[in-house]
Amino acid sequence: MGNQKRRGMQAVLAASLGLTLVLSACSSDNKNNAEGNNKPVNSSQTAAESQSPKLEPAELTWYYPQWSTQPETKEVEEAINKITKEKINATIKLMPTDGGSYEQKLNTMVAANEEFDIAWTSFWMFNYAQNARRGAFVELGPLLEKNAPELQKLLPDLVWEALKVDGKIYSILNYQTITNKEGFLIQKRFADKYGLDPSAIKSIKDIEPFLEKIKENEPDIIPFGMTRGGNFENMKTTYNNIEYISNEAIVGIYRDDAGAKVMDVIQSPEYKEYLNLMHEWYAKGLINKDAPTVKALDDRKKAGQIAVSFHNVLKPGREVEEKNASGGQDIVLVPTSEPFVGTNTIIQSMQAISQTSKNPERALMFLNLLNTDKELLNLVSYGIEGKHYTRISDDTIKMNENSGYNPNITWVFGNTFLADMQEGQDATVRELTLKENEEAKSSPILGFTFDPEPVQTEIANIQAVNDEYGPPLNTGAADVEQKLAEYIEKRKKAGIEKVVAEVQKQLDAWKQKTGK
Amino acid sequence: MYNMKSETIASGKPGISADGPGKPKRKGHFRRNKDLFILSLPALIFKLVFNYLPLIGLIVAFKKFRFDKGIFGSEWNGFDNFRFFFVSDNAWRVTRNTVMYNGGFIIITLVCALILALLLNEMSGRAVKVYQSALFLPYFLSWVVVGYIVLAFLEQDRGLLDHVWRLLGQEPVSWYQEAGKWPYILNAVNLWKTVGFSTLVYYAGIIGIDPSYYEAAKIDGANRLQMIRKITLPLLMPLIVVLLIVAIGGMFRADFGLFYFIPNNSSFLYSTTDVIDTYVFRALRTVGDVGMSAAVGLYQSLVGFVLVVAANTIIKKTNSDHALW
Amino acid sequence: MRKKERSIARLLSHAVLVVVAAVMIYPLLLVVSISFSEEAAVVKNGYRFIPEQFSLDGYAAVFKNPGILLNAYSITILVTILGTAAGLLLTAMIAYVMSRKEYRYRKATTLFVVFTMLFNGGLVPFYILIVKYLHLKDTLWVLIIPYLINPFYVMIMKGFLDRMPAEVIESAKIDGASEYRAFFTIVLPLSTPALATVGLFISFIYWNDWWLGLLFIDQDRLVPLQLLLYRTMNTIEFYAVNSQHLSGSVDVTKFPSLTTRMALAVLGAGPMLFIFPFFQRYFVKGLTVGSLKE
Repeated sequence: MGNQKRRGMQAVLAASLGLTLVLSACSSDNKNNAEGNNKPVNSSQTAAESQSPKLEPAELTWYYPQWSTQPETKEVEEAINKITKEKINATIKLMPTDGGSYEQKLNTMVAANEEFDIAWTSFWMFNYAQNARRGAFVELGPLLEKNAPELQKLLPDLVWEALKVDGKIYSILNYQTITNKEGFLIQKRFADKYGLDPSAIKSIKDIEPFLEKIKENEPDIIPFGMTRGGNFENMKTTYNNIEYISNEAIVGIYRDDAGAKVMDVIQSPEYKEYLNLMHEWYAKGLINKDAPTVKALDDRKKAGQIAVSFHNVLKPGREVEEKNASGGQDIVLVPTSEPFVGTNTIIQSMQAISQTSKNPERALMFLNLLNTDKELLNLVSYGIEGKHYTRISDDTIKMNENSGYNPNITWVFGNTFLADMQEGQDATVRELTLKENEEAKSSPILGFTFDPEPVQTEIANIQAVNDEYGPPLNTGAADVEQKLAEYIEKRKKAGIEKVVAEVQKQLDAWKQKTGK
Repeated sequence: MYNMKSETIASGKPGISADGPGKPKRKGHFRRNKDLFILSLPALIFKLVFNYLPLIGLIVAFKKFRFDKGIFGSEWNGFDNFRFFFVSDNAWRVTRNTVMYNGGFIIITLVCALILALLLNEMSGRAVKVYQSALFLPYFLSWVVVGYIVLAFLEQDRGLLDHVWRLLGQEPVSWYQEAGKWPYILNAVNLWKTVGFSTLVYYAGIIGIDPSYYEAAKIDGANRLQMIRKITLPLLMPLIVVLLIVAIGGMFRADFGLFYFIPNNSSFLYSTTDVIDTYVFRALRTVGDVGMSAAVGLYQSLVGFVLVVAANTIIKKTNSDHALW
Repeated sequence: MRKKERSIARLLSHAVLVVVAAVMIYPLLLVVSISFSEEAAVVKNGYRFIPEQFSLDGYAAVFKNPGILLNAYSITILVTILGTAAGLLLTAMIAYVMSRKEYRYRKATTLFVVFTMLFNGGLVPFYILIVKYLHLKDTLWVLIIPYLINPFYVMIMKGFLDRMPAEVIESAKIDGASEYRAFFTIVLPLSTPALATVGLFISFIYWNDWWLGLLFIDQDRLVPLQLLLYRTMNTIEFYAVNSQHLSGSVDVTKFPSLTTRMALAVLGAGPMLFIFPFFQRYFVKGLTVGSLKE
């Protein structure tokens, strides 16, 4: 009986081995093709070589996050390579990585010194400054003039300032909206029904009567939707122009403070005011009861159940996005602050070059091409014309139904002002965005990025404290007096004063150095 | 009487030399040792490459890790990386939680699994298969999915328990905001998910027992309970000891999935549900320092190692055959 | 007298087991029920054991791209079969050696294995080993090899094999068999309950793994089933944490709904129901000693 089982297993083993050999042969085939460093494949290669004889063929790998699977990426990649081979004698290997695990994967790759060329980075995922300081990226400043002159001129000085980490530039920005503007997102049907006057809403408290009306008359609707993160971080400009220097430690300055004195935001009067207001609202039932524990409201939003929410990026054209997210309900934007620009509002989406790259200059050339060559950017963002999208006008296109390539993340790839617009987007939106970019008030400490390394231990522990006290307080569920006192006390124990001192020290040094 | 028999069998003392009388024992022993060694060689090499080689990386716990310098190039920084955990206010709380939960899990799972395995043993073929499958089913699910299930029961307004409470005319409980209830909830959920595993192991152990023992006992007039006490349990001891010592080694390590996904990361519950692994994860999430997380891992391993050695030594004193080494 | 005792014991056992089994299965039914519900009803009215509104929408969304799903299934199935077969053999080999009391290096080997259970070099060295030195990144093998020998299961297997009577092995050797022959032709066949148990556990590890895929797989063709599931579930988590930072837009409408997530969970765990009976065949009593008597 045992023999039979073994024989059966052996048969299965043999069959699977056969299958595996086939599969592994396929994947190794891919590898061989990709190792194209010394394999000129076709005649267009030699033509290219005659155009730019000094450039050796190079292959570049490009990692970026993607929140969906696109089955026809290979074909798009081939089309991209036709252009890049011709213009800079390089082939690109696209490495879209699942967005939810992007940070983990890239962190591991970088820690293991794995070889790759380009990676997407930002301040909120795969942290730009932190990785730059730990030696993950190549310094680009000296390379820009030679390899990316157009790109250098394209981005405003403001942007280059923001990209500096300890005075050096380590990435290039995917140019898009760089401003933040805070305000309410309100479902139009309720705004109309209860006669909301947007111009009357200047501060957070002003919306309260409206919320109360919703609560009274719409039992199935959540007046003010909040998740466990709370909203103070989004509202800080509205509340007296506060800017965070360290999001983890929650330490910052008042923008209007000429002396730029660093303070512990949790101990500020504005924070207390916010907490008291939220507590009132929570008690009155204006906030969803599970706010302190809920992570996302997307399903309720889609069902149109949220009357009002708050966001800090009220960019032009946001209404359309919000409408889609709210199951088709129209949304009205009611800003409570002017547009403003700070380091973190700018460094939302960049491409950096890994220090393990064998071809950093070529990689930079590719990025230059990507952000100046409309055809190339359209390819990467939308796919192949005709096959994946149809052209409606000179600068507008429409994605095909069930297209095999529709990642819809142009902001991850490059200059969103260069790529063609999608149907339904407005040329005016673009103009407005650019205008806001240029006219927004800029932060006095633009270009300063705090290096948390000397107080890493304290920050780690502070963060754990924030995680514990944040949700109940920020969503109004907890009693303010007592809980806030505890919170402040625990932060002190974890070393917040040391952190504040360190931030101040670095800020003063930076101001001295740059003369700001 | 039964005990003696089982002892003799279990100790496996070879009566006669395996190669028969006359052949020199030393040569036979040498050959046997060599063959056995070769048999274990593939696994040994595997372990060497995949477990021992990467242990070099542990030095990162004592270094300030920089990407461009790598594991060997980065600077030493002594015990700095350990500071973060031990200096924190929460070190005591999360350690206490970790140890108490693990201790509870070990005992409760052991008792329940043994009882269930014994009960299964009373069943006939077909019934066994059905019950076994049912017991084991929760083990298949990932903690993420179990998290959703628990949410389905406990969620505010939409959860099943909420519905039931309202039907009974009671004020519904905000489960995710009441820390005190969670030690019970977590024990229940952990038992639900993992008892199938231990039960299976014990059951497989029980059915491997020679039925002639039971027959002999029956002839001598023993009842079922006596048979369980004198035959089944003693013969299961080696297996129980193995599972026990392994679990003790993991005392300072928590099952991350359980403690992170089930409480749904609700900060209200941290005082009773935060364990070493979840605490470190949250604290280091943005700090992202490889050295610091390695330091905590090393700490957990060391404590586990000490515990295993201690447990094994204690067991050796009571019954040297059951000890691991 | 004894008969009555037996049947009372039987009845009690059945009663307890039925209750336990029900408790085990009940929550799972919830998952199944939600997967067959209509999304809007669930969002509004909550979770129910019997769907308020029956709907196949959750599954429809999953099967919109059947290619991806089927591919994931085949990868996982392949990996599980290969991994379990090879892993079981290797585990048995070393566990057997560790169980032989006359083996001179028995204690050393045991310690060698137990140590690896406790100490871990960490993620980064492991990653470097796999990617840089073994060149296993983005291959099928990377999904199989790391889990081949789990020290915990080695210990369990050893626990089972410890009870193999020495006479069985001795009698084989008297007949002239080598250690290897003895192992393959006598010991293995006699330990089918043990092999089945550990085999089941090993196949689990492979079936449920998403970690190796997350770290080492880039190409879509090699994505195993649970990784697919994990990615889908994780997208929500990610969005929840980062939504305030996203000035660019991530298409929220494409996010899987609650019912879709449950459908994925059912599809991910369901096949195990077929694997389990496969191993159950070997849970047969008294095999060990029966052969001795022969």
